[in-house]
Amino acid sequence: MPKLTVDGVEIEFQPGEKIIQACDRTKVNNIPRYCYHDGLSIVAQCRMCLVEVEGQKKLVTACSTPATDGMKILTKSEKVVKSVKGVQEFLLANHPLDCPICDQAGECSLQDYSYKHGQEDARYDFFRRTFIDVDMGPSIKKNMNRCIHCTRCIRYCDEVGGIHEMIAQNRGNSTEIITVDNNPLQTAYAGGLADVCPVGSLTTKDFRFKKRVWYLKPGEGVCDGCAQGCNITHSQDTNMLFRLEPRVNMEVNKWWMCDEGRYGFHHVHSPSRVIGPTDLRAGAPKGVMWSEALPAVKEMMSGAKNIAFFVCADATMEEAATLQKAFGSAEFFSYSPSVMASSEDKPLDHLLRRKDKSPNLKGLEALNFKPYSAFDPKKYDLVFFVSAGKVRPPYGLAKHAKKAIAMGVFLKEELLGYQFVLPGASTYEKMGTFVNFKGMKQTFKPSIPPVGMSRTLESLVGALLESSRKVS
Amino acid sequence: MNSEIVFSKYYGQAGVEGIDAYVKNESGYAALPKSIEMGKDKVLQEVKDSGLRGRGGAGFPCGTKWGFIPKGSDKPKYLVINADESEPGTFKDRAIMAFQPHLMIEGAIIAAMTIDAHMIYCYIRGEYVKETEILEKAIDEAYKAGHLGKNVGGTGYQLDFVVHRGAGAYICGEETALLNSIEGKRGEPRIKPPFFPAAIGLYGCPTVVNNVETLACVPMIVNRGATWFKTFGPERNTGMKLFCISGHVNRPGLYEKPMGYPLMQLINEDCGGIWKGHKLKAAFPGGSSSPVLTAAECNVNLDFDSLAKAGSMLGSAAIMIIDDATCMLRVAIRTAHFYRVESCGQCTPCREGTMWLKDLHHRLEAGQGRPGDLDLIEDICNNMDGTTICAFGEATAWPLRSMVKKFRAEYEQHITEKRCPFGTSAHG
Repeated sequence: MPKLTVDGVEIEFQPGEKIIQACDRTKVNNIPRYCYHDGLSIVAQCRMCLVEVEGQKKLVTACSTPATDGMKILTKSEKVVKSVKGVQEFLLANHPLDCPICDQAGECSLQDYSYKHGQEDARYDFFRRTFIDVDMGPSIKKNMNRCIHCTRCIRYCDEVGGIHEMIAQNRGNSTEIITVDNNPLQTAYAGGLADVCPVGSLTTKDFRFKKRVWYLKPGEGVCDGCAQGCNITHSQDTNMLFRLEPRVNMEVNKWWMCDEGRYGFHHVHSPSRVIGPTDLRAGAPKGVMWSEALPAVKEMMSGAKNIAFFVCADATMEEAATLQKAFGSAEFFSYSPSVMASSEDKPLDHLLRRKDKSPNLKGLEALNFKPYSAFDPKKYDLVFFVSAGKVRPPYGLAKHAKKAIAMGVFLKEELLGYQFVLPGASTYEKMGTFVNFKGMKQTFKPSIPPVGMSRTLESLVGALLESSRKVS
Repeated sequence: MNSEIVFSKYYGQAGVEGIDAYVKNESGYAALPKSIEMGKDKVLQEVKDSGLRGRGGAGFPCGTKWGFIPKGSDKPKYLVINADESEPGTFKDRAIMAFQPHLMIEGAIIAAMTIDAHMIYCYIRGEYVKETEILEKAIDEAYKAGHLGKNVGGTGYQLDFVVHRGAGAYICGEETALLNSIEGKRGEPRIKPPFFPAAIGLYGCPTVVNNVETLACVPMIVNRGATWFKTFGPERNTGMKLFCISGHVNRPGLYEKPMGYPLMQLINEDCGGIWKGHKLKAAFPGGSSSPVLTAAECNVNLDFDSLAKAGSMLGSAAIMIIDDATCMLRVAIRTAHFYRVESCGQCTPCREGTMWLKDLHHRLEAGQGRPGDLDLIEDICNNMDGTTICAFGEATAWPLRSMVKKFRAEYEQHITEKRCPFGTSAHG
């Protein structure tokens, strides 16, 4: 393998790699950058990654210069330090420095590099250019004053979103980054603009002003929105889930995730979520304690000749196995809201979104769960409808069953036909494994404990078995 | 000094732009059959031997540039003529296109056949409306005469010529921004490497970008030989050159002189000296982006190497003369303002630096300058110099920094007196 030297440290690089890529991969040096993003094309516009190559008069940008064998790179020479400081000062010249009210503060490249590479005082003392905040569709709000013209967003729309809808308007210092004709963003990946924006110029309306980011505790999750199984980072504070962001996995989602997944966690803290055991036998819902609910359910079970489990395919492998182990005599069906079987699944667009809107249909099929098409609610005395996350059984289906018990995440307005609701944990409240459409097993960790009185399926099943033993 | 009028003999006369006049007066289209007879390699060698350097600004040897085109590549190759001529003070290409369009067309045909290109693009400055008309008429004539089209000079070689009008951006004179503009993209310079568009240029194909005047030299070199061409000018700076003189001289205009012609002789003898009996204060020898020369430094010869030695550059040979009644700060404001408006805004130092410099200069001129401002201007220029994608950063930093350095006392006077010492009646 060819080698190059960075500040005296010799590293190997793969042919064709740029200097910054070689440094990132070997983690020898964190070269500052704004416009460079691993997943986007290279434009070398921000000039922040200037490095000195021994033997070359001019500084070069590490992001656009291919690494060559025997190259000697200096990132801390006097010339580099001065130039990078200069670039940082230029960037701040028109930046409003409104960090106290900026949502990006705490995870802002401009802040970080100011501390690391900038200078302590500002020499720019003229009026800064100002723009009015612009609404860019349902997902994104733009604050042009903070923009540093890295054009990541323009390239993101072109190369990831697949629609050329952001442009640079005007020229020079008057350049404004804008959607074409000020139209709202069309892409299904608009939320990613806030991820790629290195400053607080593009922020998601969903998370804007909800929480200072330094309070957030990130965790590793897997999106339960579709069969793709995008890797995500879920962030919580005081047991409240605040946002989802993509987590890099080059085999699944690379750096991206869709808006549907990104904003698809609001059922977790929805005021209409049923978070306590509810008795619906009398018609009107009545909140009960677990100690009352469990014996009642057990009684219903013991009176039933045949039991079926209608499991939405957002149940984890562990949950499905638990159910099978505990209720081996029952029949198990898997359900995805958009497809009958995982064989019907297909991509919905050029990037990530898939037709199968459940994260684990493939996994349930592997555990020999029967397809939804074979399910007839009238055949069974008692049907457990299990929703373990975002997917919920078809509205009204429970009405056709003789007796129906809802188990998992349900909303108050969806309780038609159930005799009991046993609240369970959503995807963010448990750990488990999903099998995505490729057959890849992906394990995720919990972000928050189960909300309210809800409990994980494993503990619920355990309690049911235990209380049944007590009763008998 | 050996000299011969090769360009401007018929300038200003009516009807000289037609093909008949070109054939009659200047033995037009004699070089084309000769170059076909000579063959590609010999033409390339002849141009290399002549020492012809690009007339667009950088002064890169033309033959070497043509030689960069990869041989055996199966991609189409393009010749692009840079007729954007956007450097303030330059008007030489305009004259060539208005009075000798066929000279440029013939040069372009020879160049295209040498590099094996079947397509010539001429990117002409949008403001040159009349010149575009003349050029398009000349192209029609060349097609009719069989010098362009499916059968160039009876060889069966196909060659087409397209005129592309710019939309008025200075930056589109930068060769990679020009290529982007032809492709229909934003006129923004491309990142380097590749340092030359020879391998990856227009539409990703091998491309040569040449200035109008450079190509106009080619038919002469083919006709009369490299040795003849080298009789003009000092070594490594050969040929006759069109100099655009503007500013405070009695007879500004376009002058054709051999390379290496002394600047003072040009000002005092040819241009009739400084106007109104004033004295020479400063000169920009290569357009607004070249570092300024003080009166004392003006004893230089006008060629690439001599001016580089004097700390400036020949650029596009747009010589701007400043008299002693001019406030240098106002000259700097003009320059700073121009670059602030024309920066493409792609990279940070240029986008923000040009704005900042413009504001600082305006503040100084208004008498509100602060003691640290001059050092600040120099420091901003230093931070812009060499940190940008294209040469625009240097084009801004060099003249402004040189003016602060060389006329610092005058700048300081603005700060201490809190007003412009030249008052309201000064030029600038």
